Amino acid sequence: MIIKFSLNGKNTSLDTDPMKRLLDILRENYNLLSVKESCGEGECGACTVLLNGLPVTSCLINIIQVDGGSVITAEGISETSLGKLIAASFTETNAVQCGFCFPGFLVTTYHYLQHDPDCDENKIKNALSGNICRCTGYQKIIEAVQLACRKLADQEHKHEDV
Amino acid sequence: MKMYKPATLQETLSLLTELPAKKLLLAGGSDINILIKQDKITDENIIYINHLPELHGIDMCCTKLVIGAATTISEISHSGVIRQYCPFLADSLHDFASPLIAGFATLAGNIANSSPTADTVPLLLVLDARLVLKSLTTTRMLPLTEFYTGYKQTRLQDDELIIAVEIPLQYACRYKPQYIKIGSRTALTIAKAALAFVKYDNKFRIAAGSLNEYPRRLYSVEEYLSLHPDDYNDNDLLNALKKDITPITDFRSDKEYRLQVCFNYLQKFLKSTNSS
Repeated sequence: MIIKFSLNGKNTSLDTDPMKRLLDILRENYNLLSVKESCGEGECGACTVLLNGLPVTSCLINIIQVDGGSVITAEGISETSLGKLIAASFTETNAVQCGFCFPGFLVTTYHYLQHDPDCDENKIKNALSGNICRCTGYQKIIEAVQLACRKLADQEHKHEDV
Repeated sequence: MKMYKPATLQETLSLLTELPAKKLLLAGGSDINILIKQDKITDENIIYINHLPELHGIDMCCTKLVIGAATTISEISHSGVIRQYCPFLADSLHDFASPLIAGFATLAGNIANSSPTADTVPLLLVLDARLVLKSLTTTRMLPLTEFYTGYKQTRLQDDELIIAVEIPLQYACRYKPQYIKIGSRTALTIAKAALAFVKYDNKFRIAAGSLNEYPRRLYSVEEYLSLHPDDYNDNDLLNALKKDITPITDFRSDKEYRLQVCFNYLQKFLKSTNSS
């Protein structure tokens, strides 16, 4: 089946088994290796991408569901100013250790800050609740998101001043 | 596996009539992909339905809410109409999987997958929900209480599709249902036990998940409490509960814990209802 979709802002199409997982297509056909497989059952969030603007576990999405839609991976997000701001915040709070989970956290955090940039700890915990990290213990990750949130607010404040 | 993507609802219903057995409907895919990973799906005919507009959306129609079968869990929990007319459903669905799954998992998918632990079903049972089932030649309503007949067994005919879920507004609006899901991870877990509860006019609707072969109403408890709304005693209540549930011991929990936690929350819900 021919599947057409937008990937990190560029239109693409491929002829493939429509039941193939989005995760495998992104890694094998497009070499987007930020998309990690860990549990393969939607529990860990390491394979998170944005599908039509929503963060989803790409291990549970068949490529047929992507036809006509848009996909953004951590690679695409890392090119944006918000993506760079989030990555810098994770670095500053030492929130990344082995790094395996980080692309997923980047995608989820990007979506959170785009839609509801609130520093409230509980809101952040809820937004990130589908992503698992086995190294850091989460406190530094929450601090990173709060830091990104404050930086974003400062930026908007400066824009208002201008 | 052979894949079909019908262009219209009509074509979908024709396919359901024509294709031989071992067919599966694919909407969100959050259950099917786990079955594929476990090699439990091999030669099924798979019919993709997520793109059909008739299966999406939330409407208020006279005295009921009508939710399209392929509406996602997060669309429901964030819907203004649901938040206004059935806040219980919107709030309770926050316990359904993580945001990363709730964004594509569908309501009817959760019902039709027929898991004993299906999170949405106890909620819909206390809300007295009905399913709208359509085939090429018929459309019928089936109360959710009558949908399941056994473990992974339903009254859905081979040529039928769930097209919508209807919730009458009198329970959703006028009374305040309560809900608890017990599991090992708040964000995303398969329930060890789940209990939904509503009291109305000294009558009760109570439903449990993960405590039987399918999520179901607790009719013995309901009957006992309707006779003793204010003077129930714990022993009789426990005995009624034991008639209604058949908890098992598995890797997730054990039957003694499941019974106890269900009883504890039943008492808690009763106390909070009587004191308010």
